[in-house]
Parts: sequence; C-alpha cells; structure tokens
Amino acid sequence: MNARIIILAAIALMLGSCNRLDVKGMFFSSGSHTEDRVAEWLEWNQQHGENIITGVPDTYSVYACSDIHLEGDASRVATVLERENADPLGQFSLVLGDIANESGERPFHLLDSVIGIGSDTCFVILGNHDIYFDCEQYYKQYFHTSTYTVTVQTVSGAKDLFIFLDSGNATHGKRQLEWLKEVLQHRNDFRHVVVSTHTCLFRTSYNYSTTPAANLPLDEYYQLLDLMDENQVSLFLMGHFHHQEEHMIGRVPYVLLDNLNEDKDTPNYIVVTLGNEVNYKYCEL
Amino acid sequence: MLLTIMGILGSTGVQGQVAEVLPEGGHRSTHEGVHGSTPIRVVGYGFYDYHYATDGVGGGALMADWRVSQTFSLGAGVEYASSNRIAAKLGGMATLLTTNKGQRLTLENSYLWRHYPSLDRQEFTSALQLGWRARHADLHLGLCNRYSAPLVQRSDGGMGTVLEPMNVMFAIEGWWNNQTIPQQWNVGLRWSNYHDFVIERVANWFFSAKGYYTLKDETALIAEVGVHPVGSLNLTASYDGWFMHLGAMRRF
Repeated sequence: MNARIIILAAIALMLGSCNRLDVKGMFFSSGSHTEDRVAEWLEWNQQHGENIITGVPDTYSVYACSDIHLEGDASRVATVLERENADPLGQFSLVLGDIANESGERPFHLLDSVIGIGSDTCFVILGNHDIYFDCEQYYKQYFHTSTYTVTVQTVSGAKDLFIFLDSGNATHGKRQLEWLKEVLQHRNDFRHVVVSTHTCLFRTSYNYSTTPAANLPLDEYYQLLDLMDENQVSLFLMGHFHHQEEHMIGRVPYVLLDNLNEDKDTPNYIVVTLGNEVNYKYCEL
Repeated sequence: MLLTIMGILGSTGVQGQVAEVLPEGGHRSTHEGVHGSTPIRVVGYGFYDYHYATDGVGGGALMADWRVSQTFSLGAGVEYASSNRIAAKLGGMATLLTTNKGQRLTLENSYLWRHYPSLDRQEFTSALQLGWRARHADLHLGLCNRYSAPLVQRSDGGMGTVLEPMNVMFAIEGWWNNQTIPQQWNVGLRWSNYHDFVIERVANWFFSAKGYYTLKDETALIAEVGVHPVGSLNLTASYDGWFMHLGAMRRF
C-alpha cells in the first residue's frame, strides 16, 4: 500500500512540475478569476475606446480560426491571415483562443509578429491554454483585452457588431454576462451580430479533446442559449473541442471551429461572409 | 411514461442475477443512511444553490423510494427551484451482488426531466450506472444521455434540440462510520458531477460534506453543504458557487 502511495505521489509530482499539464490548475484556480480578468478587460476598453471599422463594403468577409496552439512556428495561422489579406472581400481575421500550448511568451510573440506582417487587422480572444501557468501575463501584454466589441460600418450605413467573450475558465462569469446583456440591448441598431467565445457550449460529440475539457455549467449554458435566441444573434462562433460542428438552436447558428495545431492532419478555418445574410464555410488550409 | 416502463423493465431484468439479501433497500439518492425494515422511505429537504454567473435559487425537494423486494427498489422525486426550474425524476435500482460483509454492487437506471420556464428550455436525461457500496466508501460510475429542447417549438428556425449522446457520470463518497450497518450518525465527503436533480457535464464537479443524525425510530436529519467550481479539467478552474441542503428522511 505504501509503495502505491509513493508511486502515485511521484507521478503527481512529475505531472505538476512539467510544463505540459497543470495538475493543480485542473482542480483550483491557477490563474486569475474570470471576474478579475473581465474587470481588467473592460477597464482597458474604457481607456482605449471601442474598435470601429469604417468604409467597409456592404458585403465583406471575415476569416476565423481557433486553437492554433503555437509551438514550432506560426506558418499555419500566417497562411490564414495571408489568405484574408489577399481576398478582395476580406476585412479582418479572428483567432478564437488557445494561442499557446504550454507556458512561456513565445506563442504570443509569434502570433503578434505574423499579425504585424499583414495590412488587415486580427482580433483575438483567449482560451484556457492562454491563462494557465504564467501565460496570462503574455496575453495581456500582447492583446490587452478579451471582452470587447468591434463595430463595422459599411459604405451604405449598415452596422454589424462583433462581440468577443472570455471563457477561458469555462464560464463567462457574472460581470461579463451583465456586460453582454447591456451590449445586446442595442441589438436593433445593427444589421448582424456575431458572438465569439473560446469554450464550446455543446457536448454532443467526442474526441481526444472533448474529454476531459470542460463546458459551461448547465444553468449558464441554457441562459446563454436563451439570450442569443432572444436577441436573434446572427452567428455564434466557438473553438476548444478541435473539430467541426454546427447547430441551429432556435434562430441562431452555432459553429464550432476546428483547430490549427501543427500536428493536425486536416487543419481548417472558416470564412464568414456578411451581406444581406450571414453565411459561412469551412475551408481547408 | 415509456421511459419509466423502460427503466422498470431494465432494472427488473437483472433481478434474476441476485441471490443475496440486502441490509437495506432504497433508490439511490445523495442522502442515504436510515436503515430499517419498512419498505418506504421519504426524503425531503430545502436547499439554496448559488451560481456566480446566474445567481442563486432556493427551493425544496421531495423524494420517495419503495423497496419492492430485497434486491430491487423504485424511486421518484420532484424539485422546485424558485424562479428558475422544476425537475422530476424516476428510477430503479437493482442489487446485483451482496457480500457477507455487507458490501454490494448495484445497477441503477434513472430518468430526469428538468424544466426551465424562464429560459424556454427543458431537458430529459436517462442514466445508467453501476455502484459499489463498501463499509466506508460509495463509488458510482455510469453514462447518461441528455436531450434538450425548447418548450415551444419554433416556426421560424431550427428545432433547437440538442442531444448529448454520452456523458460520463461519477460519484466518489467516503464515510466516517461503517455504512453497511445501522449507525445513529454518519458524516462523509463526496466528489461527483451529479446530484439529486442535476447531472452536469463530466468536468463540472460538486465537492460536498454531508451527514445524517438519527433522532428516534427511523427518522433522521440530513444536511449537505458543498461547492461547485467550474472549468475543472480545463487546465484552469474558477469559482462558480455553493449549495446547501437541510432536511429529514423517514421510513414508513
């Protein structure tokens, strides 16, 4: 019995001391609380103002990818950004979290450097990998906020709203949900509203990533579905589970983005086209 | 009704494999403890459940189980949570094996319905799990599928239904006193992803401390207090909330 305890303790110590798995963080908060982070994001937004993009054609495209888990180089996400830049309809790109795979500043620096190469903008949110160990400080250093909006004004005066949420801890938290409700009170001012978060809302299919990764608590999940439907959100984008999945819940399409890991055999991203309607398609890299 | 019949059939189907005699019967609830000879047990408690993101709800739950035979019991329960949801469940539990030390292997089949009137959702969950009760431990492992649907079917969009075909459910309990024999009191710790009227996704856990104290005859006070963090196994967890149950159980 003692030998078993020693072996288990040794395994736990090894897991806890390596940089691939944060054992303690699986059970207890190892980074900041969602509430603390959201307060920081909202304060940063207040100081720097809302993102507004003007002069956009009435029909335009946005490229979105997720779970890039940068380890070697950033060539895959760079390809997505280059394709967006080369697309006459392309206006900006989205990276929906899990920039890092392990600890350290390098993944954030890599993403920031490839974003800097292109002429178009890339909007980023954090994922669970970006806040464990000491990653959170680097996310803040390079990308500053993960709870924010981007308003797109088209040449004919239509406005679209992109809402970005922080769900790194598998919850949006009280303050962020309140903020989301406040933002959606102005839903009627916009032609389309696209909401993006990292954590997948659904647990409807299974692969190496879905178990044991976490979802929102059920009560929050149902509240969010109701809020999205009540406000007729045009599109809801998610990542986290490393595969493609689509749901139509009420009037809202929910789209799960695949991952772009270097070892992914079939990496892909989506192109969202906003015009009179909102359409999207998965594209292979 | 069909689900109930399936549950009864599913559970009675294993009766033939059972040859041992139980020290007690009872549909599995998270509040176990009162031993006795009468076949009906009723559990009632008030609760408060606080979720950080979605606020707290208070309410009450009433459950009853009927020991149909030494090896099979049926149970039913209802829960009302203020302004948030109502829930009901049905289930059966068969004892597959009992050792001479009072340990037992059980198979439980249950059906849970949760109704969120303010959120326009309802969910149906069916669950099948094995349980092992030892002197100081209770272990449960099973699978459930969850089907959720809007209360009112939309005419302007998709059906809005979601099927979660296979969720793992588990519970690990440790008890201070030997629970295979009658005790006046007992206290224990529990780690699980489900409770009486909710089966969360596998990485959304409940940690709780609970216990009972027998007043007289076959009546006992029960209590449980616990926390439910969120994001466990997401590499980083976050505080989500806590809950408290206080009530009584009695055999009739």
